[in-house]
This record gives sequence, C-alpha cells and structure tokens, in this order.
Amino acid sequence: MKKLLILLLTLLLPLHAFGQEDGDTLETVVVEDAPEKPPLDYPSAFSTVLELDNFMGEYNTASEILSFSPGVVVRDYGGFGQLKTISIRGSSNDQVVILLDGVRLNSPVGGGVDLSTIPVHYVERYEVLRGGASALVGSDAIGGVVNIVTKDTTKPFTFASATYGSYETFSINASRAQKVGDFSYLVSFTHSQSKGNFNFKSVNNLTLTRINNEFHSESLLGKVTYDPGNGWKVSLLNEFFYDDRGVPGLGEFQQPDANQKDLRNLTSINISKEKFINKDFDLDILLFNRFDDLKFKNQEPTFGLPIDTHSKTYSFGINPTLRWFAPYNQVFTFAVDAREDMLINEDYDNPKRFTLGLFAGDEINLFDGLLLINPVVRYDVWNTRHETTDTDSGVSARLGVIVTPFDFLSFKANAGRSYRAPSFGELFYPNEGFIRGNPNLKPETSYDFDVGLLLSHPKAALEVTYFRSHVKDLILFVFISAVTIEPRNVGDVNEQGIEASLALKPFDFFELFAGYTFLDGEIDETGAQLPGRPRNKFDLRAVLDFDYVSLFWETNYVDRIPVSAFPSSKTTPARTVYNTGAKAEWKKLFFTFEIKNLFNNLDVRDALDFPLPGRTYYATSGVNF
Amino acid sequence: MKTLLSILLVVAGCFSLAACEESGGGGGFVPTGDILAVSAIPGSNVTIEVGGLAGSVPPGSTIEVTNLDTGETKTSSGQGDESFPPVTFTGDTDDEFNVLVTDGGTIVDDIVIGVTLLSDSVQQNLHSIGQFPTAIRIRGNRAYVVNGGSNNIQIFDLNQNPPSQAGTIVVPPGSNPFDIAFLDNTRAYVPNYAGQSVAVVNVQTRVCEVLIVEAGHSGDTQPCLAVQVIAGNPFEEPASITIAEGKAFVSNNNFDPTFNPAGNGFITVLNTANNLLVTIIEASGANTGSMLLFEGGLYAVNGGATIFDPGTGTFTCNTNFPPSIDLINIQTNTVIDTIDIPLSPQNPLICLLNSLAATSDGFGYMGLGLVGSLLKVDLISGDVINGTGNPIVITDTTGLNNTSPVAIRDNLLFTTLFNSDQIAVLDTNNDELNPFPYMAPFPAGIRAFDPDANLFDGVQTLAIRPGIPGVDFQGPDIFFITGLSTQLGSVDTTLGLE
Repeated sequence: MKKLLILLLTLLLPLHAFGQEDGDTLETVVVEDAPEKPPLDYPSAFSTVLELDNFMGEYNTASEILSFSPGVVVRDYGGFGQLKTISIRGSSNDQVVILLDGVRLNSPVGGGVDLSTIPVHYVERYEVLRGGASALVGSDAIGGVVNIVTKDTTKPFTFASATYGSYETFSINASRAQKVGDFSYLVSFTHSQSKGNFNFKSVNNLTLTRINNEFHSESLLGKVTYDPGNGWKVSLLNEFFYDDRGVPGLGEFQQPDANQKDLRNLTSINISKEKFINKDFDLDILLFNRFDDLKFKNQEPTFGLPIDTHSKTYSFGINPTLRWFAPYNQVFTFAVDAREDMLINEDYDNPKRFTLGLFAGDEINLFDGLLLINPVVRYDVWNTRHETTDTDSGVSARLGVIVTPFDFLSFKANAGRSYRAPSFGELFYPNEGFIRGNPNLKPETSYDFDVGLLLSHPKAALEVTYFRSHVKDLILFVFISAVTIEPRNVGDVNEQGIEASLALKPFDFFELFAGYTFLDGEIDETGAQLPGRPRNKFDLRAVLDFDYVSLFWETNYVDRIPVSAFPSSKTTPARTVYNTGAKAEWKKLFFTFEIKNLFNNLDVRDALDFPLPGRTYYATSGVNF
Repeated sequence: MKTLLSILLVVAGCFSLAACEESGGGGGFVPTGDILAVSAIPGSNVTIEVGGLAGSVPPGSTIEVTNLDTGETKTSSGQGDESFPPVTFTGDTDDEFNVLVTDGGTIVDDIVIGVTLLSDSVQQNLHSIGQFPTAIRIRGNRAYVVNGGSNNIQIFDLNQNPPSQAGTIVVPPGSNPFDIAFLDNTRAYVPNYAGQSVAVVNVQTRVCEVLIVEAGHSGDTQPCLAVQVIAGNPFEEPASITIAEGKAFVSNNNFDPTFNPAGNGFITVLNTANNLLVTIIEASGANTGSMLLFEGGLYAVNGGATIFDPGTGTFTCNTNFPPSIDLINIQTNTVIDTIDIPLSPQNPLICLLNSLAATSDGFGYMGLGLVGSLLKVDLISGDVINGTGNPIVITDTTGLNNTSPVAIRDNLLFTTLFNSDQIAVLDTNNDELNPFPYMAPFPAGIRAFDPDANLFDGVQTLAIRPGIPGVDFQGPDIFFITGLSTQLGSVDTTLGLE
C-alpha cells in the first residue's frame, strides 16, 4: 500500500529536492515515486500532487480526491454522476483549466469541466497548480490549472475491481499496462451506473427524494508508447467517455424528464526527443484533437422555453515546445500553442475561434539552489468567427521565486497576470427570451500574488500560503430585467486567502493529512461575498496501515456558501461530513468497505443550494498486481 | 439663532401691526405641517426639493428658500391648503437651507433645515426570504411572505423592528404557492400555482390542514394533514385568492393550452365551510389574476397575454387576448359586467395587467407586468380613464420595468419598480407622480443608488400595514420583498415625511 504522505510531500518539496540525487531525507523516506518534473514545469508555483495509488481500492471520484487539495473547492450539483466543477482560490468554474496529459478538456462553450466525466482508474496523479497561470497555459487559468496525468505505460500492472453500493451504484474497472519490446501500452475500461435517487432534507425540513438522478457511463482509455531508447519517444493516447444521465434540476426544482448525454473522444500524439540538435535541447511536440458531443433535452424547464439542444465541439491543435538547458544553470523554454475551437450548433450560429499562443520562459538557478527565479511570458491572439469576426489578444506574465536557505525550509512567491476570453456560451447563447448571450463582453483579467513557506521533515511537512488576486471585468450571468438573464462584465472582484496543509507520518503505521483554506472574496459592486464559495474549508484524512488491513477516516468541513451575489445572501448550512472505511489486502486481492457521510447528515447542500446524498455504503473487491 | 430672531420679529410685529389678530388669533400663524428639504439618496450634485406640507405656511405667503452653502435662493408661495410647492436645488445632502416665510411683509417663519433623505426611511435586507417570492400580505401585526420556489409562507412579526420571523407554513413540495387570503384570524387559503391546488392553512399552528385538489391529483400532499378532492378540473394555474361571503374565490390564469376549456381564465368558488366546490365562473378574458372586493362586488382582472418572439427575444401584447375586468356578483357567483380595456397599437407593451387597487371614491389602478406604467378605470361607471393608449407613465412605456403590484393608502398609491429597485408614489387626487415630499421614488435596492449597476435586487411587490403610522403602530408602514436578492425590506414614511 502506498503512502498517503507522498501526495503532499512531493509538492511541498522545494525545487532542489527534485533535482537532487539520493540522499535527500524526504525522498528516502516517502517520496519513492516523486514526479520527475514539477507540475507544468513551473516549480515556483504552489501546487499539489494527488497520487491515485493512495486511494487505490476505494470508491472515489475525481472531485472527491481533488477536494483534498488546499485552495480547491469542488462544486457538486447533485451527487451521483451529476455535474461537478472545480474552483481554485475562489475562481469560477470557467477560470480553471483542466488538462489531460497536457490537452485541454475545457469546452469552448464554457461552464468549466465536469469532473464527473473523468474516471479515476487510468489516472496516475492530479497536479493542481494554484494561482493564475495564463502565462503557462493561456486563457482561462485565472484560478489555476489541474493537469491529469495518466498512468505510465512503462510500469506494468494489472488491476480489476468491482464496486457495489447505495442506490444501486455499480462500477467495474479493468486496467492493464505492459511493456513489449520498444512498445508499452495502457488500457483501462470503466463502467459506472447508479439509480442515484437519494433522500435529502428540503428547506422545509421535509425528507424528499431526489428524482431523475440516475446515470450510466462508459470510459475507455488506450495509450501506446514507442521508446526505441535513442532519445525519441512517441506516445499515442485515445480517451473515450460517454454518459447518459438524468438532470434533476436546480436544487429542489426537480425536473423529472431532463436528460443529458455526453460523449468525448480525445486523441493526442506526443513526440519527444531528448538531446535534440545537441545535448542541451529537448523537443516535445503535442498534437491533439478533442471532440465533444452534448445532447440535452428538457421539455418542461423550470424557467423559459423547452430545451432540445445538440452541440458538437471540436478542438484541435499543435503545441511544440523546445527546452534549452543553457549555461549558468538556466533552462529556457520556448513554445507555440495553436488551437482551433469549433462549436457546431445552429442555435449558436456555429462559432469558431483560432488561438495562437507564443510562450517564453526561463528558470534561473542561482547560488547552488539557494535562489530560483522563474519568469515566463506568453502572448495570445484569438480570432473569433461568428456573424462577424473579432480579433483580440492578451499578454500574460508570471514571475516566481523560490528561496531555499535550508534543506528543510523554503519560501516561494509568485506574481502574475492572467485572463479569460469570454466563452461561446457567454457570447452567443441563443436568445431564448429568458436567457441570452452577450457578444459585447470583454475578457476577464486578473492580477494575483502569493507567498508562502514550506517546511519539510522526514516525518512531517507543512505549507502555509497567503494569496491575493484582483479580477477585473468578472463575467456573470445576471438578471438584466425581470424576464431576461444575460452575461455581463459585472465589475471587479477582490480575493485573498490562506492555504495551509500539514502532512504527518509519526509512525510507519499512521499517517495524517490536514488541509485548510480561508477565502475572503468580495464583489466590488455589491460588497457581497462571492457566491458559491465557502469562507472556510477543512479536510482531514488519517490512515492506519497494518500488514493486511488499513483503516481510514476522513473529515470534510465546508463553511456556509452564499447562493447569490447579493449582500445578506441566503447561504447553504455549514456542513461536516465524515467518511470511513477499511481495506484488506492479501496477496493480489483486496476488499474495501466504505461508509460515506457516516452520520447521515441530510443537510448537506453545495454549490447553488443543491442537495447531496446522506449516508452511503460501498463495497469494492478486486485484484491488483 | 435665526429662529429666535424670527420669533422676536413676529412678536414685535404683532405689537406694531394689528394684522396678527386676524391671521393667527393673536398668536400669529401656527404651522401644523412640516417644511422639508428632501433628497432621494445621499450624495453631492443631487436633486433636493424644499417644500411645505399642508398647514406649513399661510395661504398667499411668500417663501424664500436659500441654500446656505451655495447662496442660491428660490421662491415659492403659499397655497390654499397652507402648503407651498417645492423649489428644486442641485446640491449636497449635507447642505442646509434657510426658509424665510413672509406674509404681507411680516416674517412668519425663518428656519434653517437640513436635508431629509428618502433613503433613510428605507431599510433593506431585514430578513432573508425564500426562493421566488410571489406575494406579501399583512394582517394585523403579521406579514406573510409567500415563497413560490420554497413552497412555504414565512410569517414575520411586525411589532418587532426589524421584523422577526415568527414561523413558517409549509405546503407540499412542487406547489409553488402564489398568494394568501385570510378567512379569519386562524385560517387562510393559499392557491398553489404549479400544484394545481389550494391549501387551507392554520396561521396559528402554522400547519397545512387541508389540501384541496382535483380528482386524480398525483402530486405530493405532505405535509398537509388532510386532502379534499374536488371532481372535475377546478384549478389551472391558480394565482390569486379573495375571501368573501363564506366563499373563497380563486382566480386561475389557465395558461395551459391543453386545458379544457383553454383560453380564458376562470374563477373557482369554494365553500369555506366545507372546502367543497360551489361553482366555476368563466372569465371574459385570459389570464385571470388579481381580484378586488369593492362596494360589495368582486372585480377580477383578466390580465391578457403576451407573445414572445424567439427570433428577437422580445415580448409584445397578444392582440387575441385583450385585458378586461369582470365584475362578479358574489352572491350569485356570476359575471354581471365587464370593463373592456382595448389594446393600443401605439403601445405594444401595455398589457399584462396586475394587482388592482382602488381609491375610496372608486378609481381602480392596475400595475403592468412588462413596463413602468399604470392603467386607471372608474370602477363605478366602468369607464377606462387611462387605458393602453394613454397610460399613467411611471418610468416608461417601452422598457421592462414592470409595476406589477399597486397598493393605495388614502390618496397615495405605492408601486414597486422591479428593474430600477425603487418604490414610486402617485397622488391619486391628480395622478401626479412623486407628490412632495415624495420627490422621487424610494430607493429600495442596489440600482436605485447606482442606475448602471449590473446586479439589482428586483424590488418585486409591497404591502401597506393597516392603520395610521405612528398612531396605531410604531415603525415602518410599508413592507416590500425583492425577487432576485430575496430579502424583506421596509419603508417608514413617518420619518420626516408625513
């Protein structure tokens, strides 16, 4: 069984830890599978790496695992298989970029990435980079970036599991990775389904049943890598996902017939060459194509006209990166990011957008690792074609610094500018009377800053971060009259907060992680706390790990969440949820039993007042070798 | 000091001039009304009106008003009711004004006043209310807020300032309650718009005692204690309710095109003694909603309908369903007269009538669901005074700043302006907007203070507390709810305004 501590410590390590050979105390104790590179090759950023092996055998979703990261709030719009989005440091759903092996999953239509469409079994780790990162990945990364790294094809394994649980939840997975000569492959298939119609407590204290909450999904990922050992490496990945789900609607406005079908197919080819031209250069070329197909039907919506929409989006492009290991301990990176996004939907008039990004960055290592300076700059120009053609551009920049006076102590600081271009949904949402797009939107821009310290010890690690950001021209869908909602640049938002995390492993059989996030976010126009974001969030996970059995305990506290952008807004109740479970392992077999929401808290509501399930049970068994 | 001086001058004048005896009975003119300088909101470069209420100055007197900060002086004159029309300044709400009243060369009053802010009489965000509130009604010292989305009715104790929530009455999930009317101090009737039902609730125990539904009703009935089934199709979007003569009159929008009969609205009459159906009254127009008891008759508003153009995203009045008002004999349960209100091609958004309220002399005023205007009819004669062609314009006739609810006390009509977050006041004696001291609409939400604000509260509807403010009760006399920020607010018109 892997060590939970890995997930935090790998991130808390300052830069030099990644560069050091054997002998680093942290590495020898817990960082056995430390990632070769810091997330997005940007070591100065505050980031979290969540290793999936630490949750092996448990029934978890991407959203549950990601929510352990400090600074991250997952918005859950209804439990099983329903929309789940991520907010980092108070960002909106749209202000976080999610990558799968470096390829964007964000739809050009907007709305953020639905984490429920990302199975966990093929994932090696989630890398969460907190803070504005447009200088690294372009538009949208005002809050941060999540890079989902799939399992390595060169590390052979076989895994198969079946889970059965509350509300007829059923999930099976089979995954295998194998090396065959110069080739290696990974195949992972997951099927999940649930009736999902859980009970919840209404605002009137009645026990109601969430209806139309069923789903089933299928996921298949294949990855083949060719590595002849001469520095060249070619990797082909194809990820397919499909789901069919009921959409029960806003909070208690339950809709019995609304249905959504999502289909995604992502293909990427990664060609890399170490020592390209000469020993000082590495080349990496990523070609990608993503296709999303979304069908949504609701004959009797709570608001507005019946909806029957079918959208197809295509995103394809190329991303060559050249890295130069230059004299004086510098690493220069130059990259081009060319991408075409297309929405095929007559109601939107089939908008298209071409984005070209030029990136240059440096990593300057001074005084034998005492000081690292990490400046990057990126210029993006995007051309949006709709009824008219508009061209806009944005410059993003970021400067990061790491000071490591002692092996066990380092300080980090970052400052930067990020932006988010309005999505197709915000610009061109078809005029349905009640809701419509606004082609006159300006991009959101943000200036952010963070500073923090990292303390690491073989048996403990602590990170404390202060962050502050100012977002200009925030885009929100707002009522512009009694009968019409439209997205508007509603003004500025100020956010600041503290992230703290602590990982302890005082004994070989016991480990503990605790994360805390404080967020103070305010909309200038109303002075109101940002809706959909709690001020305080606390997560704890403790694991007792014996030879054949391990026990785990989780506590998740989420403060009250305002449901609107008005002062004195109604809030969801603060909530504390406890999860527990036991896992038994014998040779290649394992069996896990879990209870989530142990004390059956039916007052759990999230996002814009969506109810979440009470106590649920899951049993998982399988093989892993 | 100036006040003292003016008193001395008046006294001195009385010794020298015999005129004092005639006008003041020996003591000079004794004002009974206030002289006020009023601004809607605080700030600089804002409009300030200085005027006198009835009883404040002698008829024919000359009033000289000087802004002591700018030196600007304006003049007005006393009216027959001893008021004086306001003079308008642009200034700072910290400014002070000298008001010098002279009558026949004699200084009657010489005072310095500061600015009274309409915004000071408004309290926002008094209490969170539920989702999609639809109505607020006041009975005694209790306000009842009907929350359509939350399927409940919040009860607020108005004797507390700010009002405290005294309880909640819950109706079945999915009901979408729209209105509440009181049978007595114990029972009230609640039409459920989406639930196609009527809940009989006990406002003392805060329990839904009976849910009146049609046969075959498939929706939730919990937590109501009992269910009363009525044969046929008694409800189709029941929107409003009035109780009289032991009967509950429930107006039904009847927007469902599949409902039989489709088209016009109807009124379901229930016997409040046994909650059984008495009869159904077919309305003469579509979208039957607001009702008003006046002079023993029940006036039911058929609001008309709109057409939505998906191509342009705009609404216009549906000419197939012009609005009208039915007069119903509540003894015979029959429509005995109809006031037709033809649509006007010049004003394609003047329709969707709402919330009928009447003055004591029989003039009915109606808010509109789309734009900031009112219509006026003579309920007694049936004449349309201000129809769709010549509405009383509160804000405009083309924007979407609806004036849905109207409430009248004495000669003052109050109506909410949803988009601009304001409460407008109309003098029903002359149909003039903003009668002094209501020199502008009350600012009741975000956009009233910042017209360019993207976010707004959506001041949705209001209710006037019965009784005389400051006499029968202390504190605010008008309570309003906001539809977007879902808050309870209040206006205290006694704060220097009346």
